[in-house]
Amino acid sequence: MTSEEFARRVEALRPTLYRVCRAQLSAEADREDAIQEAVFRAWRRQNSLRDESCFNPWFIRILINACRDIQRQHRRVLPMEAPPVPPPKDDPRLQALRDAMDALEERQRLCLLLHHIEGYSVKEVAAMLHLGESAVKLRLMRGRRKLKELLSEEVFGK
Amino acid sequence: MIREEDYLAAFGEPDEGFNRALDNALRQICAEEARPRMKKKLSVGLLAAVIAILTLTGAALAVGLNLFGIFGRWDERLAELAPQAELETGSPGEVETEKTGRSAVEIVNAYYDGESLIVAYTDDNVRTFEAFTPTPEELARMEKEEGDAEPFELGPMDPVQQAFIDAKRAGKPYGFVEYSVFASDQMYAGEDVKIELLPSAGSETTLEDGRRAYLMEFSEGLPEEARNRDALTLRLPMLRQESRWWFDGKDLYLLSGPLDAEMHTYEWIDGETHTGYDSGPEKIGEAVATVKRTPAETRAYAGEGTYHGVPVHVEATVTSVRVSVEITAQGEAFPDPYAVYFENGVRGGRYIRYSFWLENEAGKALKVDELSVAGNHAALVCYGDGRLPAQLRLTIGAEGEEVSEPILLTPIDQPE
Repeated sequence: MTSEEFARRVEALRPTLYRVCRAQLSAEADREDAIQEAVFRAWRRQNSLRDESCFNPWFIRILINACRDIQRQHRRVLPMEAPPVPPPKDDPRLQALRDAMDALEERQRLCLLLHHIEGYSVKEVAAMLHLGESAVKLRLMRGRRKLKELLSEEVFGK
Repeated sequence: MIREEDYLAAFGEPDEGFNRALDNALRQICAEEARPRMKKKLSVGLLAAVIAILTLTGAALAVGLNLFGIFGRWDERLAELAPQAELETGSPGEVETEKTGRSAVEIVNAYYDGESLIVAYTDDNVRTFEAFTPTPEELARMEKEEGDAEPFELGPMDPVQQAFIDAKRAGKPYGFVEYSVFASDQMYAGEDVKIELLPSAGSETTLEDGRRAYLMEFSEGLPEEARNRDALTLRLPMLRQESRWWFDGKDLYLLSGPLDAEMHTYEWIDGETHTGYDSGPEKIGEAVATVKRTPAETRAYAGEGTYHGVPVHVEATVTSVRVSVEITAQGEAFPDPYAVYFENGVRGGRYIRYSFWLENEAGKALKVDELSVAGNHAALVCYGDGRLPAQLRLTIGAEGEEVSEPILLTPIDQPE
């Protein structure tokens, strides 16, 4: 894969990559470090991608691992920052939604994000997070239940 | 009802810093590729060493397979436990079907210390594909898919799957059926009573001979019936499944399960009761193995410190696999995140994201598996690293605040 093709594929994933980072890292600086590290790792490890049609989940898995490495290295918490995108003042519902997702355990939040928001199957999510499919289903169920409790609304409906 | 669009709106668009970091990284890669590459030659001595290492690895795999050693390349804890992960007895499940030929599932290694269970097993990962065109009766059984789904693989795609994707994207009718035989991801323990073990973590990889190897860990608390036994009999079901995809040129139809499946009532993961055709895989065999309990040493640690000026007492129970930490404060040091969130009965109060770091004497962080905090008490469960540490250090923090000074934990039965 050429660097142009690589960049094009990563660019197409930009909103998803931001949401995955946001689900694991609350500090802006950490998210910036994570995405840069993920890009360099993925570029160096192209040989581990056996089928280019699987680029998206493969890259997301690398990003998830980069976020976790930063979580492990983190020693001093930065002063609380403002939310990355100030919520619209006339939409408290979205703020409550954001707070509720942030209040979940990280693994539940990631599973819900990847499955219900990004649209990956349980099997794909299991591969990205190195979990069994049963473990993913458990986290989805618990996450939905907790969100329903926090928001007092049905979640992930059409 | 909260909808997908609400979640996308709630997360917002990537911020400026994120965009800039991503753009810079991509620019750097493109610039590096444009530079001429310098080729390096391996020295004769280094080349000989590389050949020797590769030969040794191949010999080790051929003589005796220990999957803990293989997964131990990415998890030091498993490498340490490998010598203790031998089975007492083992009997693979082997079947032969018309569509998939002969295949086997085998439990290869297991570590059991009465509280924790880690199991490694293999299957032949047999999957075969055929082109398929449904009859009107068969199509009536299939479900119309609303989204734009396509087959997905992390590895190479079968030519039949690829033909389906090509036809679908060209708007041409095409269908295929996949037949597969595989190991279940739910394991059972016990002789007379089957105790379902749900995994808390897992890994998988492909071996040199093409088999898939899996590691399943049950550290989120084994059920009472599976704890503290002298030995554990493990049962791993072998499953068969059929999946059908049909694209008629306009719409996509899917069916999981055999065409002659019966209608039944079942409880889904949402806890609700549903009625539908039995689309689940069919059990066609079982791998069985017995693992003796390893007399694992358990060591207790304790230490004192402060968090936000509040004295805290910390106790830890450590095995080579698992570390359980209990933190008790002499006051309200850990406001319940959910209580704060709902403070004053108004939704949207500040939530608290706690962080706990546990390190051994070498400064190596132990991965956190579970965490709960409430009031004057917090509990933490971490993965062990295969050894009992000389001491531990616990650091406590919360988002937006200074972290505590590290709290030293030393073995209770040894002087500090």
